[in-house]
Amino acid sequence: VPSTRIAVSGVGLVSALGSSAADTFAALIGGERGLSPISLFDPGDVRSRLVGEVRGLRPSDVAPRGRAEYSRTDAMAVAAAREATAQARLPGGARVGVALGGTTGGMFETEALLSSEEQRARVSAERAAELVSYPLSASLHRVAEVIGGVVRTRSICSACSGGAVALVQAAAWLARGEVDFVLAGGADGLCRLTVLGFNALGATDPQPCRPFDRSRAGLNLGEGAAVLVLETEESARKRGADVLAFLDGYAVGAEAHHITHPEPSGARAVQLMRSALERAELSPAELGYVNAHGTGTQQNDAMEARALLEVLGAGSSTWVSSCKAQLGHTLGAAGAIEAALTVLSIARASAPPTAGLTEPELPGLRHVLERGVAQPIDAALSSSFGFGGMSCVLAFSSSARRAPRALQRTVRVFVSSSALLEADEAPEKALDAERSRRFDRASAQAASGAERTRPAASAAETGLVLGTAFGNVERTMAFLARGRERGPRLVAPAEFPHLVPSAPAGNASIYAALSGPVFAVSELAQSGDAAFASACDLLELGVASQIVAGAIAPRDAIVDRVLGPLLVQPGGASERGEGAGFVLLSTSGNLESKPLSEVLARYAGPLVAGAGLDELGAPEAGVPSAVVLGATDAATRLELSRSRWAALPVIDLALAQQHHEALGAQALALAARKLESGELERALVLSGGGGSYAAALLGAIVRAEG
Amino acid sequence: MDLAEVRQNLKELLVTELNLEGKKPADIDDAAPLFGEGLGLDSLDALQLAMAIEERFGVAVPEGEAGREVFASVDAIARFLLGAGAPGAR
Repeated sequence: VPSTRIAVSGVGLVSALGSSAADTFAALIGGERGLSPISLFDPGDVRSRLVGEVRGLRPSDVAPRGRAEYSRTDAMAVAAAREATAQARLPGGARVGVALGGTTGGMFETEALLSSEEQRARVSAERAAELVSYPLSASLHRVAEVIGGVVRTRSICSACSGGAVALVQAAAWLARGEVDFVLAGGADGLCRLTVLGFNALGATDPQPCRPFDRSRAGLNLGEGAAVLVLETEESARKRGADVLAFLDGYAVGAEAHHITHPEPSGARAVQLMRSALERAELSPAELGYVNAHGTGTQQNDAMEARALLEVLGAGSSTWVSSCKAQLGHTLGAAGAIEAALTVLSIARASAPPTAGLTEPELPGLRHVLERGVAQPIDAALSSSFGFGGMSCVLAFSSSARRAPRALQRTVRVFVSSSALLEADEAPEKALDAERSRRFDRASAQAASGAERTRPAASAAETGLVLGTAFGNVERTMAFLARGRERGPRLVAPAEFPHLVPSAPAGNASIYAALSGPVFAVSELAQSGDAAFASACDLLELGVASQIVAGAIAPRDAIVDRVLGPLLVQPGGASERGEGAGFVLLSTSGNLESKPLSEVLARYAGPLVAGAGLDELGAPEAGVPSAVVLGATDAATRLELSRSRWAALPVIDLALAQQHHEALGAQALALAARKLESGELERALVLSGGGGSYAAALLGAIVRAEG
Repeated sequence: MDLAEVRQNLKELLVTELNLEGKKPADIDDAAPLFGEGLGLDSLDALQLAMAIEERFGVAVPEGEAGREVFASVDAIARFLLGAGAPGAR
């Protein structure tokens, strides 16, 4: 039986304190701070100019020849990936997955290109290539291109916890045996949007921030990237790789409380820390170190200190610190950077300090002050809490600790309900006006879909994985235009939290009271398929037992005209439309809502003749079956025509409709509906483009008569 | 502007800036608390309202405890704006 213990065999890191993991860690332990006035752009009249900026970064130095359009975020991600793979001595010919968290992608470079009608007209005519940096998934594809051998990709946004969730996705791929190695991490560059946004929220401190201190007055923004190489323990042992630490536990969950404020009691944070410990078979007393989220804001640190005290106990000997006072808050990269630093704290037997902390607000925690402490650490936690209450806790152990019991279970994934939002539907009309008053079309689609598919009584144990390719570009550009024209003081504070790509997922989780794992995934036209795959992955990993998987594609004038061409599949529709699709997936047989169909098999990966579709089996004679196509290019349809499924009738959403990034989710919802009605007993749901495709075979649950 | 006019202006601002769907300016009580009970606004609304007041009336609402007093009700905001000689309330 192959071990599913997950080993970390390489770490790469780019931060305000250094261009490598070793430099960053040494500077952190020495108590250095990487904060300085921002030099990238003039932010205007803002409360704080102090940021953790990566100085001297030249994307053209990092990009392969002929790839001039790298964004800063792309460059940091690729640099971190190269460092991590070099340390891990990643062998050639391996099957590699890449999972990256982020929030702004190439925003810094493209906010100028997309800023005015005049600019946009010029871009669509001449400079479309530069916009390939805009989507959140851009950095992911850069890393995949540079590393090679990449068969799985996933771009994750859960505000400030995405970089940590990427490691959970990695664990799922490795547990399924779909890949030999995963490069998991996060990257986020500074940009006007986040500087103006956090300023408008009054969340930034003009002084170097002081997490957990009585006098704390906000956060300092930062930028950076971290990538960790993960593989199974067996793989590391076989090839004689040095294991830095093991990822033995993880927990992903949401608060369903408020789009910016954490739930003050910290109850959900406590549950998630305990759940990660339980999975790793660790007791709190065994923890040598906790790398806290510790942003320096009143609300996060009060909540988190309370939660830590409850988990660790007053007077605990576990060291606690936050690295954000030295690196700044790197948003979507933070969870990955802190995971990397937690791994290094185990590997180097020392814990970094919380710079600036002199007078802890709550007594009872053992904070590392001023400089790092040297001490063997056999087990450590890294916590990340994002906007919208989207949280993730990771537990790492040294090789001195025994492995937790490997999960040996056969998991069946069922579909219990579905919702398909058509192009002409107005999802906001179905929602409570008061509770949805800040929603845009994207959030209305997400909330409406979640509301229609969720199990009513057990919503709290249900997650939401939402495909979304671009975020709200129109609203983002309007926000930036106000900053430019009226100054930073007059941008709309209540708008900002809705501009993060994960905002629709967060809003829907709050609206529908979903407290399981909540995050967004971005994969251009395949965003719906990516959401379905990640939801199934998490269910099989046992991180949740019920998840709403879906995708949204709202109308957006800028996406339709300027970014839409990035979605066009050769041989598909050229006009972008809108719509959304959702299915409720679950693993348990005793569900509140009856399973209506089952995921019999699934495949996601490259288009290779003979692989993929044929791995799903073959149609059975006499069983009413059909193929339902989401977004597909001509190559995917050709592959279908050569497979054993070629003779089945085809329902082609991509031909029947305008293209959009939720077609895959709509195809799944449509298939689920036809299986539920008895019209079909088997449905092969297929999407694909750009050399990779996603396929799922769904089967009706046929109940014995009488 | 007199007190009644400033209050009316403020109520219109509240409804549009905070997307108070289904509410009309006339539904808002001059003396009712804006946050928590009453209109049920949260601190994100407070930030949005402070920005909108600064834009519309040309006066910055103080931060901290003094700001909380100003934001007690529509009436309290109107009196603050008139007392501060706000350009937008003249």
